[in-house]
This record gives sequence, structure tokens and C-alpha cells, in this order.
Amino acid sequence: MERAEDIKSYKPDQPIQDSDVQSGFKYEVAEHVGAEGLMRCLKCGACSGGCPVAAVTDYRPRKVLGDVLLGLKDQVLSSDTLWLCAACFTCEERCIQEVNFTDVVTVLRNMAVREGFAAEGYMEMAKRVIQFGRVSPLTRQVERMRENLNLPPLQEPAIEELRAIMESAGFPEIMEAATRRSKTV
Amino acid sequence: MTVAGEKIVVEDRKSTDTALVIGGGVSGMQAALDIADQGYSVVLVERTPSIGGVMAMLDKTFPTLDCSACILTPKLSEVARHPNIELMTYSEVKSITGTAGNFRVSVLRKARKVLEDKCSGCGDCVPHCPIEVRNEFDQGLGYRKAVYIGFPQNTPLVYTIDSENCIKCGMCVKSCEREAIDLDLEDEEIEISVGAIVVATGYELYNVANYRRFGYGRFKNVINALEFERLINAAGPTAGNLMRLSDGKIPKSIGFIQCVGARDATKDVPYCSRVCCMYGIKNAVMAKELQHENVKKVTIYSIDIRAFGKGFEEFYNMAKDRFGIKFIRGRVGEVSENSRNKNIIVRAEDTTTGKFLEQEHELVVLCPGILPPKGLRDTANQLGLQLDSDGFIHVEQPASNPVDTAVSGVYICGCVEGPKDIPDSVAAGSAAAMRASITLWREGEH
Ligand SMILES: Cc1cc2nc3c(=O)[nH]c(=O)nc-3n(C[C@H](O)[C@H](O)[C@H](O)COP(=O)(O)OP(=O)(O)OC[C@H]3O[C@@H](n4cnc5c(N)ncnc54)[C@H](O)[C@@H]3O)c2cc1C
Ligand code: SF4
Ligand code: SF4
Repeated sequence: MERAEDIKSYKPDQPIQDSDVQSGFKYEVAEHVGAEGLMRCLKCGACSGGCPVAAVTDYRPRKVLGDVLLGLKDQVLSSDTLWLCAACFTCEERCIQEVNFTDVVTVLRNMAVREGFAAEGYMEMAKRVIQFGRVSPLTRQVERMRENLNLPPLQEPAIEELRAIMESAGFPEIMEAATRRSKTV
Repeated sequence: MTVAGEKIVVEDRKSTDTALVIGGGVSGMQAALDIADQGYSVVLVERTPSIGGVMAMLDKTFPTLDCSACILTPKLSEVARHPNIELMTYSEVKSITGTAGNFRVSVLRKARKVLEDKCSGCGDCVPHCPIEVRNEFDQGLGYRKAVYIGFPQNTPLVYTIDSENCIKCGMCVKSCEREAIDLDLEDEEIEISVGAIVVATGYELYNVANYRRFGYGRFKNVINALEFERLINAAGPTAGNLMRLSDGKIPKSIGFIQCVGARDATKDVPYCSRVCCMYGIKNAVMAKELQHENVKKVTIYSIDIRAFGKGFEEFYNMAKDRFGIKFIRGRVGEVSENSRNKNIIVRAEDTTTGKFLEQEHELVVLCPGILPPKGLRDTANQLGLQLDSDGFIHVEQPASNPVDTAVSGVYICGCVEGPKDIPDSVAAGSAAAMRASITLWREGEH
């Protein structure tokens, strides 16, 4: 009956050292658009209970929020699990405190990238956007699928304009920060 | 105190000798008794055919597990027999004018089509009535006839004909030896004068179907807590046999989900309903107590347990230690149905360990929060009362005058002010009675 109680055992928490805690972290996060509701969290776990990713991995939205509120900045921003959220917005709809967790994740990811903790897959995507103007390159197979679905052919992206926009938005510096960290690691 | 004697005739009394109590739940009953015992007369107006309110539907009461009916029934008959109390059940207040000392109240007495002074409550009419509908008192789980009492201790013990479903076949009329039934009776509006008013219209349960993710209304084996109370009650639709609705089997494993329509800002119920943790634990314990041979696993899923009252924490610990109730700290994410056996799969995170749980229960009970009663805004408008943002009646000075409203001569008690358990509702009933009596005394001529 308890079919899934052990679907995925959870890594026990490591003891927290004083030096791990940056007490101002939650305020820093809550200043960003989308993360204002952070401090309302009751850590009730409704977000984790409905999260499709939590059902199959170690990732727990409630845990991420708990760690942010505790001030475990490095641990949160460097964790791999931060990149597991599928952005399905289920938690956001279920949360009884209007914490808007999916938006908090976006904020945390943006912070993580600036600190140089981007997940490799996301870096690859970013590079592809700069290079081809698309997240995934246009292949013959995609073209054929579109034909079968009676969709019009895709236009060539305006790469030059796109690059100009990204440059003025500071995209290369962000990429640079991320790459720097991955070189030193 | 039990007072016996001839019933007073309210119409003959001065307004400053009489109080009106609106709502005949346990708090309104207490207020009526305490005013009446001081020698004033009371008109108690109750919307349904019987006084008693929600307490009459409950099986046991926390934290002592006393039988609810055993505590309530003597009070019901005390109210019914008290010479200074005039019961107006199946009635509603239509309008109120005037001020403290002299309120003019018009009361709509809906036609119950059975004469209260003739009906003996024998029920001989019942088998003759061909119409069967769901019994509201049993939360729709049992059935009643169109001529009915909701439960055996219906007070006053007078049958009522539900005009909505009655087909006027006249079978009941013929069967009644006392000639108590008159299908041509019509609603009646009467005027009374009172010096003080106590509002005790109680509460309503949150409609748990608003949470699609918890499956109520979609899955048969998801029920609400009041339905559970009726299912384990010896006078209920199953004669106290706990069973699940899909197949009538005794559920071996039961999950209770707390805070359904409480502490949820997105559903406009940001407040804690106070009683749900305790009634959740009570019902979990009762499941084990009644069916310890069969019910093997009982789990309560909660945000946290609020056991704030006298003896509550001890009761909570007893549930854990003696009855082996499992408590999971984690609000449930969602439930689904196992289509094969109609069991309910509950998904939640145990937030104390971080474990993601997916547990199958044969029955799931949702524990709904407490809302202001239907029609409270109308009552408030009639009286010139303000409502708080949560919809309950506003009290100006909750710390120093907890039962006083902003209108002089008008008092409140019970859940109409906010969620309360029975002891607190009764205490407030006594307090409101005292405040109302003081008004009657001051306004009267001495
Ligand atoms: C599932 C469940 C289990 C519970 N278990 C316990 C327990 O074990 N112990 C405990 O202490 N508490 C328990 N409670 C709480 C308990 O039900 C309340 O504390 C108590 O019923 C409050 O009494 P009341 O008189 O304020 O309101 P109610 O019982 O709601 O009575 C209000 C009365 O007013 C009438 N009314 C409403 N509107 C009007 C109107 N406009 N005109 C005339 N009449 C009107 C209603 O018909 C009703 O009869 C439980 C609650 C629930 C939901
Ligand atoms: S559902 Fe909302 S309040 Fe509950 S733990 Fe998740 S974010 Fe916090
Ligand atoms: S938005 Fe992300 S964290 Fe929230 S439920 Fe979906 S996958 Fe889980």
C-alpha cells in the first residue's frame, strides 16, 4: 500500500554551520520582482506535495524556500536541484500563502547565474541563442514535422538585432560570470 | 436549574421584560436559558425545524469524548419546557426597528403544516408519506419523508411538512389520529416587542468541493468531517457503522486532511478555524475506538496541530501514544483515485523528513473550516451591525466587551463572532445573556 513512500529517499540535512548563514539573504531575494511573497511561507509543504518533479526526485520546493529563509545563500544558489523546476506553476496555484514559488525560482536562478552557478544545460541553451537565435537549432526533422502539421516554415531569426539587444541587456557579462566560475571549479 | 410551570404569554409582556434570541444552536440555547432563569421572557427564533444547531449532529465532543447528544439533549428539553421561553422554530426574523428597550421585530413563521399544540410526535404519519428525500440533518447521507423530524430529539417534538417536496396527496392527514395536520396552513408573520437582542446564528462549513484537487464530489471515498460524524453516530444513517460510500466496506486505512478552507489566503479564508485540528483528532480516535479490529491505519495530514485549549494537548498526545494515530506535518498537495479499488491516493511531503509521500487510504476525510452563516449580511443589515473582513460580526472592544456589538442592546454569542468550540460558545451565550439582562433591567421601569 505504501507504494511510494520510498520512491526516493531524501538526503538527510547536513548540520548547518554559523558560517553558512547569511541572514540578509532572504531580504536580498525578496527585493526582486516576483519574490515579494517569500517571507509569508509557512513551510507547509503543499508546494512539494503537488510538484511533479518532487514526485520523482530529491527536489522539494518547500526545502528551497526553507533554505532561503534560513540564509543558506551559497547552498541554495549552487545547488543543482534549483534547475529541476519545470515551471509548471502547480505550486504557485496550490500555495495558501501566495508565495508564488515559481517566480521565486526564476529570481533565484537569475541570482545563481550572476554568481556563476549556471547549470550546464542552460549555458548550452544560452550559447545557442547567441549563435543561432534559437534555443534549439532548426533541423530537417523539425521542418518535416511542421510540414506534416500544415504549419508555415519558420522564419530566419534576425540574429544581428537579437545580439544587439542581448548585448545592451548585459547578456555577455552574465555569460562571462558563469563561465568564469565553471573554469575555476 | 430546571424551572417548571405554565408557559408565559409573550404578547402580554412589556418589551423591557422580553429578549429575542436569534439562532437556536448551543450558544443561543444557553443565552435563552440564562435570560429566562432571571425571570425575563425570551423568544427564541430558529430557522430550521429544531433547535440544537451543529452540536446536535456531532457524535462525540473533544477532548473528553463525551457523547454530544447526552450533553445536549437535557438542554434541549430544558429550553422546550422552560415557562419563560417561547420557541419559534421553522421561523425567521423579517425586520427589526427601534432601539434598546423597544425593538419591534417581525417574525416569519413558516407553515410547518402540523399544528404544534396537537402533534404528539408519534410519527404515525411517516410510513404513509410516499415521498422520500435526502435528510439535511444527516448531511444528505440518509433519507427522510416529506413529513419529518430531522433526528429523534427534534425539539420541539413536532413533525414538519416540507412544502417543497410535499405532493399534497393527503395520506398523512388521514393517518393522523390527533388531526394535527392541515395542508392548507400558510406562512404567518407576527410582530413582537423586545428590549434586547442576542444574535447566535452560528456558522456554516466551508464547501470543500471548491478544492478540486482534494476530490470531494469527484471521488466517492472523499467525504467531509460532518458527514463522518453522521456515519459514526448511532442515530445516523448507518446506525453508527463506519463504512465508505463506494462499496459499504469498513475502511482499513483512513486519512484526515486538515485546513480545507482555513488558513488559505487564496480562498479568502486566511484565518484559523480553531476547532478543526481538535475535531480531526477526535474523529481519528473515534475511528480506532469504534473499529479497532478493522481500522488499522489512521493518518492526519496537517500544517501544524493547534491544540490550544484545556486538555487539548494531552488529548493530542493520547491520540499519538495510545491510539497510534500517525501525524504527518505537511499540507496535502493533491489526491487521486485508484480506479481499480476506489481507494484514495494522497500526495504530500512529510516536511519533518523531506520524504515525498504517496499513500493509499480507503477513506479520506476533509476537515473543513468555519465560515460565517448564510444570510448573516442580511441579519447584520437589519440590525445595523458591521461585519469584519472575514465576514463575521464586528465587535468593538473584543478584549473588554467581547459579546457587545456596535448597537446598544444587541449582543452576540457563539460562532457568529468567529470560530469557537462548544465550551467557548456556551460561555459566550451566558455572557450575552447577562449583557442582555442588564439592558432589560436598565431600560425597564423600577
Ligand atoms: C465536524 C465538526 C465537529 C465538531 N466537533 C466539536 C467537538 O467535538 N467539540 C466542540 O467543542 N466543538 C466541536 N465543533 C464546533 C461546534 O460545532 C461549535 O462550537 C458549535 O456548534 C457552535 O454553536 P453555535 O450555537 O455558535 O452555532 P450553531 O451550532 O451553528 O447554531 C446556530 C443555529 O442558528 C440557526 N440559524 C442560522 N441562521 C439563522 C437565522 N438567520 N435565523 C434563525 N436561526 C438561524 C441555525 O439553524 C442553527 O440552529 C465541531 C464542528 C464541526 C464542524
Ligand atoms: S505552499 Fe506556499 S506556504 Fe506552503 S511551503 Fe510552499 S511556498 Fe510555503
Ligand atoms: S513550478 Fe516548479 S517547483 Fe512549482 S510545482 Fe512546478 S516544477 Fe515544482
